[in-house]
Amino acid sequence: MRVLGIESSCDETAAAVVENGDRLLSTMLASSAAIHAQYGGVVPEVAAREHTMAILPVVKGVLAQAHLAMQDIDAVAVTEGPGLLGALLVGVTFGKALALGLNIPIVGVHHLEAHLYANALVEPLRFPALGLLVSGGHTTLVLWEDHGQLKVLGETRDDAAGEAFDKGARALGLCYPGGPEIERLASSVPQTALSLPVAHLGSQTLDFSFSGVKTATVELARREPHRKAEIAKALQIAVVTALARNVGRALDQYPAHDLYLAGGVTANQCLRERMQQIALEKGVAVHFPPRQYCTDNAAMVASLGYYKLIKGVRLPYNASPRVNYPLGT
Amino acid sequence: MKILGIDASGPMLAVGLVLDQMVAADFMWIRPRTAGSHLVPWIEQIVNEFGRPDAIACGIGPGSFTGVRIAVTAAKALAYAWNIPVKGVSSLQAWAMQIPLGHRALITTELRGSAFYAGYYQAARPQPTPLMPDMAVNGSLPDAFPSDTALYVVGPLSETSAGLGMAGPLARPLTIALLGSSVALLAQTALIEGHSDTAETLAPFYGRPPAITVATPGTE
Ligand SMILES: Nc1ncnc2c1ncn2[C@@H]1O[C@H](COP(=O)(O)OP(=O)(O)OP(=O)(O)O)[C@@H](O)[C@H]1O
Repeated sequence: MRVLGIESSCDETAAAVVENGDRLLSTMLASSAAIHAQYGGVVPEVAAREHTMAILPVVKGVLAQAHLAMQDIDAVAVTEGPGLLGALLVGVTFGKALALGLNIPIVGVHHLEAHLYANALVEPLRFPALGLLVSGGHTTLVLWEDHGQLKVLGETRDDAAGEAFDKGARALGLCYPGGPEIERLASSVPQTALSLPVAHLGSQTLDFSFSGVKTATVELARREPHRKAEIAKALQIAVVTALARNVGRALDQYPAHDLYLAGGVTANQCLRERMQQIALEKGVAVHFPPRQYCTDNAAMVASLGYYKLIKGVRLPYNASPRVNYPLGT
Repeated sequence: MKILGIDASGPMLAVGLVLDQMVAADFMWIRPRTAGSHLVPWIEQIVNEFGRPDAIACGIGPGSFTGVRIAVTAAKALAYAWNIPVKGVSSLQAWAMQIPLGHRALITTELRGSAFYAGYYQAARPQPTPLMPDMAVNGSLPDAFPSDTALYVVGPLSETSAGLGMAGPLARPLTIALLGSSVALLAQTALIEGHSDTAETLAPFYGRPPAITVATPGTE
């Protein structure tokens, strides 16, 4: 079954074709990020306007790239939420109309759950597993028992991990997105005597908090203006330590044999190494998606869509986007 | 020729079908901001009844940004999937299709505070003649707008005496609907003569830039 995935939840218009949930045939993306950069953040109306004109060229492009005709598509999968209403409406409306026009089924998927399916493009998923989603907007730990069966074990109570990198980067005068900049700068020093705090929310909880480390980074940057690389290193260590601590705790509490990472922060090498180390200690296998599928894309949407479609899940033509869409519901 | 006409720019959602110049179906619902859920099911219903259309006509605004986008996005996907021509038309001109012959009307939509969109049309066959270009209005109509002419006012401006007053002492309210069939009939000539848009080039006419991109006076 060839599924056309469509993603338009934020500032990226993306399409991809995936066969049977795991074989990526082609993927394409148009981003309006450069326009938003002028305004210091994503402007919803601008994003929606850009999606409207980008979506058809992206869908046609992805089919052409795979040498497919539209009749070769068996189903459509579209991001239903969470995200910006105006942006989501373009993808959902386009997807529903295309499905009607081609007389093929359509399914809606959860954007964050889809992030985890970037892993399905590498090898078949194994359950029960633990999933860690770390992006610019989310930091969520889930128990992943099967396709469609996710339970949120912990989430951030304030900032996301990626946000901590982005805001820390800003305090150090680095550009957006801050994650890669922090990583580059941090790798220029072997170690540091500086340290930044890891929030303690209690020994039982699997929740995260990154607002403290953000504030401390701003403070430290002011006090030690000439030790930027060391501050970047300390920030990276603090964030990775917080993530690793909860993953370790969760692996002790739940019977998972595999650990799947997802989201933009997964690109971070220090995080990858630390997760590999924990996995080794706890005797589980750790999986990272290919770097290009860590950030928003439609391949992950098509993959998750496939698994929902074969279970018979469908998006009705009268469905609206789910702007607030809690994971696991 | 079987033409599907759609519009979601204004206070109503409209989907209609014109079959060889005759109105075959008109679905209309005066409940704004429901296009996201009702547009595609209505089109499905019409297609189930009458089969696949030969062309699509789409109101491109001005009006609700989101409504316009939903109609344009659906039109793009369907024109692509069915490989049929698509033509975008002014939503206000389509609304003006129902003005009684011999009359003029100021068509208004999306009134927010003192801002709205307006088009000024003279009823005519086969299509109403624009007397000024469709435009975004902030507070007052352009100076060139004749305030001493007898005319009808259509849309939200016609609902209050203050609104009517803006269009002059001889302005009277007129309650007509923007129908999907009007959108289809308005696009018909262009579609028959082959002057259509493509699914890619079909674009909304917003009439205003997104709010944030406009520098407020004095900030530069
Ligand atoms: N090498 C890296 N190290 C650390 N963080 C990184 C790295 N590369 C990217 N990031 C961070 O990843 C985030 C972007 O990830 P992603 O695109 O998945 O998230 P998003 O789209 O902003 O948020 P969401 O998907 O939650 O709505 C940014 O915060 C960025 O700084």
